Amino acid sequence: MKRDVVVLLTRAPYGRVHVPEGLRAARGVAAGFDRHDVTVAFTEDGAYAARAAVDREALNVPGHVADLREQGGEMVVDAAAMAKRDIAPEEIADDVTVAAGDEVTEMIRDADHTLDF
Amino acid sequence: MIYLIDKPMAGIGLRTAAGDPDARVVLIQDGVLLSPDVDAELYAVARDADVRGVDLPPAVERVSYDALVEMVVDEEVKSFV
Repeated sequence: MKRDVVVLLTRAPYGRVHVPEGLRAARGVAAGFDRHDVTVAFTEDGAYAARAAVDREALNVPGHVADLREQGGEMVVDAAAMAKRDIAPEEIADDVTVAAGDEVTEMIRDADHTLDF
Repeated sequence: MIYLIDKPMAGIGLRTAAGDPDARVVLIQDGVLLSPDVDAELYAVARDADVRGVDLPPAVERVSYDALVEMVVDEEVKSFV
């Protein structure tokens, strides 16, 4: 049965496995038999990982992102978390959509399941 | 809906709860150190507060682990732990 799953990335990139593992999990859920609807939300310090300047190769995530998008998964970044950390919209990678804080929290409330990393 | 809130994810957790008129916020683990400004029923796990030597503000109701398990079984939960 198709589910609506939100994967929260809450940690800054590098030095820990949370961002790559979160994206790997999101890819796995999206590719599942039921083709769940998966949205990755970069929030809290995870907003730093949504920036274009981040070296994704070093994080070993390009494959995860490619598969996620191939399965129709989406990536959004929490504008409220960005504002709190002085991250400008222009800094965000092209494949990540900037979403208003209220939009992100509503997405979390309405999700069937949330996973956080 | 029950919102389980620990300190590291308190930001996004409390923001998410704030948009839910039926929210019941439960502070757990280091979350008992918070004094959240949210318009919702507020609970804190008694044991987590006691071991940290935390005096909970009057607005926060103490709840035992057993009672929390009952709450979690009865109601949908969003975990920010």
